[in-house]
Amino acid sequence: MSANQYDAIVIGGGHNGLCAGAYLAKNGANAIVLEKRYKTGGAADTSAPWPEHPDFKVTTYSYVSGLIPPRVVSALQLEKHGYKVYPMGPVYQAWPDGRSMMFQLGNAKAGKDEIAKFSKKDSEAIFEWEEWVGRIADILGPLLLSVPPKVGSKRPGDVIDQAKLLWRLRKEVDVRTTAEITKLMTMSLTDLLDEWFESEELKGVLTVDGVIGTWAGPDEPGTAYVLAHHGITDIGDGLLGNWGFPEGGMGAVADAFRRSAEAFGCRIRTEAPVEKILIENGRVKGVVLAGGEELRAPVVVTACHPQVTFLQQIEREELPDDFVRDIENWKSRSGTVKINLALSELPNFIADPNPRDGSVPEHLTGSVELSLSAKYVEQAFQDAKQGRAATAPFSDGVIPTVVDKTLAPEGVHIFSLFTQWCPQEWSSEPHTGELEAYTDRIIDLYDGLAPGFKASVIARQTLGPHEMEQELGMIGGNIFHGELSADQLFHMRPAPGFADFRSPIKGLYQAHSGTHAGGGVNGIPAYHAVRQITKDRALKR
Amino acid sequence: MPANIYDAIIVGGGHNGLISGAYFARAGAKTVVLERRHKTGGAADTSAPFADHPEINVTTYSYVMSLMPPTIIKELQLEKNGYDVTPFGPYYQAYPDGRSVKVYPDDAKKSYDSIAQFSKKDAETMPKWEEWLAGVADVMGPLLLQVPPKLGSMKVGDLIESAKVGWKMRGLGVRGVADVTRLFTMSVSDLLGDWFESDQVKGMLTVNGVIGTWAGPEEPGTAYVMLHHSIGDVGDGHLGSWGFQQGGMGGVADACRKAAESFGCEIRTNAGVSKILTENGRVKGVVLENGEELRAPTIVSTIHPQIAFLDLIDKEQLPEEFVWDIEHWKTRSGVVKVNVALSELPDFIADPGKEMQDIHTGSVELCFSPEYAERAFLDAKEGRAAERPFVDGTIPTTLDKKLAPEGVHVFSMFTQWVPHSWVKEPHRDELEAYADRIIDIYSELAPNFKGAVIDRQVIGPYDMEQDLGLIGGNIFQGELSVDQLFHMRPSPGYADYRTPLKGLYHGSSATHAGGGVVGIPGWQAFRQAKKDRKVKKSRA
Repeated sequence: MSANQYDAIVIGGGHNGLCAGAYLAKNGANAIVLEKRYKTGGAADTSAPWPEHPDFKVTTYSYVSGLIPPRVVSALQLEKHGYKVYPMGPVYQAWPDGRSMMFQLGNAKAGKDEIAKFSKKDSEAIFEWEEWVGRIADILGPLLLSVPPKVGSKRPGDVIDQAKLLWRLRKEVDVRTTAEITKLMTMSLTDLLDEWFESEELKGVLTVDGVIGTWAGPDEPGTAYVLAHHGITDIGDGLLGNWGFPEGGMGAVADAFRRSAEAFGCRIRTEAPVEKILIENGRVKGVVLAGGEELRAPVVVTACHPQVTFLQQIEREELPDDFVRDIENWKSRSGTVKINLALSELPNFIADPNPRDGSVPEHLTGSVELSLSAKYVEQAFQDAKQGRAATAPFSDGVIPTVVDKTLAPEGVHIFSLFTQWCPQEWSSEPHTGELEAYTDRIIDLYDGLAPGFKASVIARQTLGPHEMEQELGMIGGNIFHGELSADQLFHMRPAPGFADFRSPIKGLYQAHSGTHAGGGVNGIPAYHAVRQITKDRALKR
Repeated sequence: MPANIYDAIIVGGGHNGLISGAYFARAGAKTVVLERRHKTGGAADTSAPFADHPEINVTTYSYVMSLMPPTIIKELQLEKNGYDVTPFGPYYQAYPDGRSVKVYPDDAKKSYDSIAQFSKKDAETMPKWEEWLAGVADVMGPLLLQVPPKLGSMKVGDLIESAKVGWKMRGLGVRGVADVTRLFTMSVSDLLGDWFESDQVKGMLTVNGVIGTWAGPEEPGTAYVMLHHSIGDVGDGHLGSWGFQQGGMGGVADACRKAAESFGCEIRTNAGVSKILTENGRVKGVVLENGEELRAPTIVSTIHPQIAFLDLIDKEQLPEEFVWDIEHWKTRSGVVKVNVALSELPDFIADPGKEMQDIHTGSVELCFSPEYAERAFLDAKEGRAAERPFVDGTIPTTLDKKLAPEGVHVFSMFTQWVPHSWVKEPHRDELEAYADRIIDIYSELAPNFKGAVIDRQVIGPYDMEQDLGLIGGNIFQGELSVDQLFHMRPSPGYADYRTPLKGLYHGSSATHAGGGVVGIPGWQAFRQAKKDRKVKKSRA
């Protein structure tokens, strides 16, 4: 076999690309992963962004790990390769009036008294709520490991796939559950939470999971589903680990995938951007790199944004018109801003002063939110929709250094803030000055709840939609490679008829987050793409 | 049979109640329709609201006809009883800069020329769009006549029903299913953005996606509302196009009433029901507000579900889950009806002339762009009436000579939004100021407008709830949001026009196919009663 001939080429060295490379190599294929940047990992990254503090590391973009199925962790021996996750603590929100709320999502019962401070009724309702969300998540979870059937197709094979899916659901589903799923897929989070709760504070805390990463405020129908997506803890092959902090930041997760891939014999090349996917008679032949170098393989897996692959790397004439239209209309907006702060001390909230002995209080070990109410969050979205960065943004903040000592020297803490929103169209320009002002406002807001916070900031980094698109090829700045709106899920993700991880081109498979189960660092798209390759017997050994 | 004993009692004398009553009576049942107000018709109403001008009639609330199935019109002989709908003209939107868009339902060439002023690409896209939408509407249309199956139920009979619906949809294919998924989940703004580039065209098409809803065009789900308005055939023959009933919408209700009476149905006004009587999970009759008791083994409720199930029935008689669903039924709206009497037709800068032209005979819109409508919604969401409301306007007097004396025109404006919470209080002054603003905006497009106003009537959410029992001011008796459609309308497990109580049927707009003066709910309630052998025929 000549040097530039492979069994399989994977485009994109993010976690899905590495995961696909690992599985392919494990199956005996001569596989190579091609990454445009100087390093692999994509949005699962750890870096030292501050030249004057080379010893401070941050988890650059994505910030928590969940949803990697146990079967992937064990098949790829990720733990042996350095995958280690510390479970996250509770969700915590303080208010300017000195009150606060803290409970473990999914186990709010334990925080009953915390909620009762705001509403006795809600502290009772939370029991049923969690049971309700849990029940639905248990039904939806296993769907993440299903290949979406071609809903509507009448070819016998496709009809059988649809019937199989229904058969599997038969025990879980009844009239009420079907209704509840319909509601979740179509309602706004605000309407849903209003049905259950009265306390604006509690609703504010619960809102975060419904709008994370999305270009939609809590008043928009469809946001209830995003909440359920985050409530899933079992996708059918055993209980998932809790959401947690990977030791060494998210870059360590990508590194574990990479080491696993290399251990199975997969080649990995960085600074190897793919310019063109070669196609002959509707069948993939290989790729051309930016320098003109050609690599050949009968199987190509794309793990980059679908608009990059299908609109830039492939000639339009090679693809069906309907498909091109679907990809052109793919919604990939976001308006999220990642902020990484280095702190000289832990934030000390008025509502819950830190213990004198210097130990880490529980409320700083999980999500330290800035989400005062559902209205607060909606207003942040409305600001951005009207073309300006939110005056009072909401933030999902975590301090991984409370458990992970590898990121920064003793005493220094890293506060990782996932915040929303700035206008989605800021992906076309840096807007650096406005983003810095946006970060100032967030720091001020935390400072209002924890005086001294502002003074404790040693260094900061602000990453807006423009950077995410330019650096990572996340078109529109969307961290999921495409919005998680109901019209872009399951059989629609990323295009009807091609939600089965295949594509209109023979030999070309999709393993990016813009496929079903994508969104988040979970590796499922890669797992499915390789399974389809095996099923199609597309690999030469 | 004693006078107060009937075979069937219909609660509510709106169009659905009258249609249901007509069907029961036609089948030989001794039937009475009970209406709380002094007259029947509900929101299908014609009235003379101007004290100084008793000769000017308006179509008070609802204003156009479309989706009533030919089967109902034929079986109830509505045409013989006065049902007479004239198809209306083009969609028209003028701009202050002297341009205008016109889209003709039946003249592609004229539509092309009009749209091409704004975008050649959009003019070329329009026929493809209409074909696409009609294609999806043709598949979805017949579902309106379908009794929603109990989706998710594993009982054999229910599974067969679900499978039957699936079988009917078999024509969709992979693309079709995708189209339907999109229509149910996307915002009308995103959907139009996928097809068109010009704000003018998108603005005009936006109206059908947000009419009557508490949702701006950027809210997911609004694409469906547009589809609902594009259905042209519900499966029993082509529907007439949208049009004006001669004599206003009250004429439709009157035709239904006359039909009911011709079959021997008794109709009582000023007969509000205060309680539905039940015994061992079975209905027995009703008690009127004056204490009078009427008995019947079969009752159809055509009033708002929150009134029927939360006010008229004791909670203990109903399953908890059902009560919870009805309590949480979303029925917000924030719509305002403005009826304006004009001494002459608007003389648009874009299409000058006070003489009647085709542009006066259809929808005379006020919706400059999707952003314009979204802004109006956001204003209302933030707690104030829209600074610049959007309007779906019609001038029925261009085609209907029965409403007003020659020369006088009635401009019927369906407008949005004010805060939905205004349902609790009249907010008279703010509503008048809101109407002033609308008149001013029309005057920017047609300078003679303001001076031509003879009188006007402004009806807000409060009036709709108080006068018509449309809780929350929602004209559909419940929002047409995706979570409140089909198997969910008004409650899962009870979307088949039956209710948790034996003998009680549901024929209000808050059931599947409801929303609009359609009549399908009233008819379906009768059909289910018949299937259950609950239509006694004492008179036969």
